[in-house]
Amino acid sequence: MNNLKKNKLIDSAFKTVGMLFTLLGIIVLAILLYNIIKVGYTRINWDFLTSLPSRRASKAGIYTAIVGTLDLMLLTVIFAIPVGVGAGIYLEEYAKKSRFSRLLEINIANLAGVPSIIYGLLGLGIFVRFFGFGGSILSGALTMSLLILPIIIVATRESIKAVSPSLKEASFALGASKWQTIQRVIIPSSFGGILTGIILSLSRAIGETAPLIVVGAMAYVPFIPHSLFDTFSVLPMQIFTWTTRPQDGFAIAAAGAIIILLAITFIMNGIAVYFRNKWQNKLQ
Amino acid sequence: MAKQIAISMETKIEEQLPMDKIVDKSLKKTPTIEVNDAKVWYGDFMAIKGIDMSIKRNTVTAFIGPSGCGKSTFLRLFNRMNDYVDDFKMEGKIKVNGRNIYKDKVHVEELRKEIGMVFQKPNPFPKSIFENVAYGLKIQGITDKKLIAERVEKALRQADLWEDVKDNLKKSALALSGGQQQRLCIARTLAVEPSIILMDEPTSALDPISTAKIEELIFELKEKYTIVIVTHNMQQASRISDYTAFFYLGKLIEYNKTKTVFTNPEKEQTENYITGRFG
Repeated sequence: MNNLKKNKLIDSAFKTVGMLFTLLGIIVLAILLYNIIKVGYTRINWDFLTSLPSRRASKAGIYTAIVGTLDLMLLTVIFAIPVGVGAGIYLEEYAKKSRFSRLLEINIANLAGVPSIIYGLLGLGIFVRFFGFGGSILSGALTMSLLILPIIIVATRESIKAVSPSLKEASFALGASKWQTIQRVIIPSSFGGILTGIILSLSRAIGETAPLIVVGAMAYVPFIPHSLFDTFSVLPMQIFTWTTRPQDGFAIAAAGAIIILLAITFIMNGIAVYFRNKWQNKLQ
Repeated sequence: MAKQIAISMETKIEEQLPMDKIVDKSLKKTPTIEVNDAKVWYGDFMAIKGIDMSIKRNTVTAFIGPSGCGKSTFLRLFNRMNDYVDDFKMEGKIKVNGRNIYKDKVHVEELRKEIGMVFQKPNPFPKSIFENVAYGLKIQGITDKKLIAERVEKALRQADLWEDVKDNLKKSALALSGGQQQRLCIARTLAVEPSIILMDEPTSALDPISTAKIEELIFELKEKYTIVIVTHNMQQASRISDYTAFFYLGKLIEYNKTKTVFTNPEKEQTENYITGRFG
């Protein structure tokens, strides 16, 4: 067999294998969705969404968990985005290239890979105990913020790096200061990438359970949090607890809650993708 | 096609204004940029090895020389664009309109309103045509919409772009052709009303027709502005400039009236370069 034929064969073989692997991911996801929806769809109704948790599976709802999840996400967004995007801009645009800043960069990249339970322990030590916030929604949100901060910082830096240096030069050459250039050229041009990073990080945060267990999220919270210092529950927490119960009814309820959690994630991503595309079209 | 335009440009300029006349006039005027023993290092590498030069008001000065000879670095000293390069270090004195621009008290933002710059590749912002030209005004804190609109129109007319875009000012600048984009970048620079315009190979990314238009524009702008242009194109330097400076390995080899440099160069190196024997 000559070389040309061999190369062609390898080419098509890799193409087929690659396609199979891609399909594998999609098929697994489809099976998962199918199973969950098959089990859980019976519970999806207005009562399920608006009922408080209960000891009886047929009466149990996810109202507090939904509200807790949304509150937690909102607070996390408020804490993490300004800090994360700010740090990303600082590191990329202001920080002098020194050994210290390189050390900082490596550490941030490493932080993005630290297991989430470690963040839970950190949150327990700092927010719950040291600051005395207790097992509150504030502690939970601050812990989640720490967890997603490295992701937002890295994403911000990468999208700022992707802005063409010639645009920065153009802005400086017209007499713009650094901050004016960041505000009027760099952020608008990198907004799509930053938003993608934020979406990814929030998608991670919304499904996290481990750090919240450590910080003190409850599975049974029969009321809506009224202040930052109230205890709270979140959907993954609720799902986790229900799946450990022996009764069949709770397994169905858990499947229902999973559908809702997935729906919230998809809606969140959808909104963000919509805004990102709209933004990019505006720039073209 | 390209050749034809080039030839017609050349004859046109010579017919309209005899070179010697312009040069004699401008010689009497005060220099606008004065360089005293400028030296530049990038880390350990010495890019500019001590250059003295003075550039006269309302003239076009061309910087020529092979790649890596330091002409772009030298040009970027005038509006302090090298400040952003890591490991950049400089010695010497550069006066722009009488002010030493490497003194601490000079605000680079102020300096760059005085000295505009046009780059090698057209680099319009991903904004509308109007916003591109208005950018320099808005960052100065000008909010008067009427004034901004007037200055934008004036700048676009000066850059010979107004007729092309007047109905589409809200359209994205990225939709323009390469030549139009470069003229937009010139308009953007003019809107700030500088007295000096630096051009770093402004036509190297453009087709011959767009190049001819930009060259015509440079010729018109000379009346009001001092223009310093880096070019790799020998013909371009001889067509549009009054003075030509030849750089080689970080040194200024020869600096004289363009006609002299191209017809009767003093140094052998210059002659070798312009006749294409190296570079």
